[in-house]
Amino acid sequence: MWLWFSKLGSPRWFYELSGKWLPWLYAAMAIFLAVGLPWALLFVPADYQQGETIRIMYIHVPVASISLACFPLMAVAGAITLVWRMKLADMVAKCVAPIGAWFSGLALLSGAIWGEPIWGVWWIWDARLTSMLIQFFLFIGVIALRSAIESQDAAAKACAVLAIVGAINVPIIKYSVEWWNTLHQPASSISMDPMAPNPPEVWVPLLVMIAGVYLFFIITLLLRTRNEILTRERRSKWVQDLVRKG
Amino acid sequence: MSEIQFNSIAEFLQMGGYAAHVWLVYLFFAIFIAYNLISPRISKQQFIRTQKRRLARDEEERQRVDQSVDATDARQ
Repeated sequence: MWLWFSKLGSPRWFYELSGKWLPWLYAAMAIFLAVGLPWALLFVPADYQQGETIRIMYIHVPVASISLACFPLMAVAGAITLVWRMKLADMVAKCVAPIGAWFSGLALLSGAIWGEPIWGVWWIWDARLTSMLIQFFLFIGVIALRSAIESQDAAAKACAVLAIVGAINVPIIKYSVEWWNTLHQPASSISMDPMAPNPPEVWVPLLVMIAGVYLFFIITLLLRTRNEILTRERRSKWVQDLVRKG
Repeated sequence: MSEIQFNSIAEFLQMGGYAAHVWLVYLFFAIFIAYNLISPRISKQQFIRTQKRRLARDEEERQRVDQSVDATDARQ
């Protein structure tokens, strides 16, 4: 276990291993999205209240829920950076920040477009929307903080601390719909009963989309982290050999 | 799995009167996926290109130094 842990911390080893994973991840993502997208757009029945706008859910929910995974990931990577000074953990922490900003931004945007016909407003300062907006700004803040500090070590430490502190916001977003009276609806329970308000024909394609978007998240994180590895290790022989070949 | 919910392509595109909302979200999603898969690949190509140039420059530099050392050796 510890050997594995220290090996995983080796950027070169991680670069080579992730290179082997990527084709499989691409294939799996393509399959899930190729099934999930037509399913969501064509086969899901229109909602009895929301009509065809229910199809927005198949983008909004996967993107928003994965945006909530970004911050804890950044916080854990930050903690590993602080405790074990693993170089790779800081690279992941750095690369997940812009991805988290993208996911939070699209969650807010798709939510606004969904809210306009259903709630009659693009935006409202309710607990869920506001805490999500705070998360978006926290990601921007982490990116700005890193670019503002010249020393790589100091930037890594500062961002790790901000990521750990900022992670407090994640349970607030998650449970905001239960703690406060929000316009945003709480998460629906899933049911196997075809007569239930939320039957499998509604949530199974949602799970397919969540899997597809998760795979996309892993792929784009790997791509960015691999670039970061190459940039930071550019003076090492293995990167120079790779450059000569490329 | 249920059946296709639309009777015609026109009906599908209209999305029950919410065409602008539904298709805008799917368009943003497509941009989001495409940008985040393509931009890291472009930065990797750029990295390889600049590093190749740097390696070539270093190599040239080294040869020039070697030659001047050879010339000094020959003079002595």
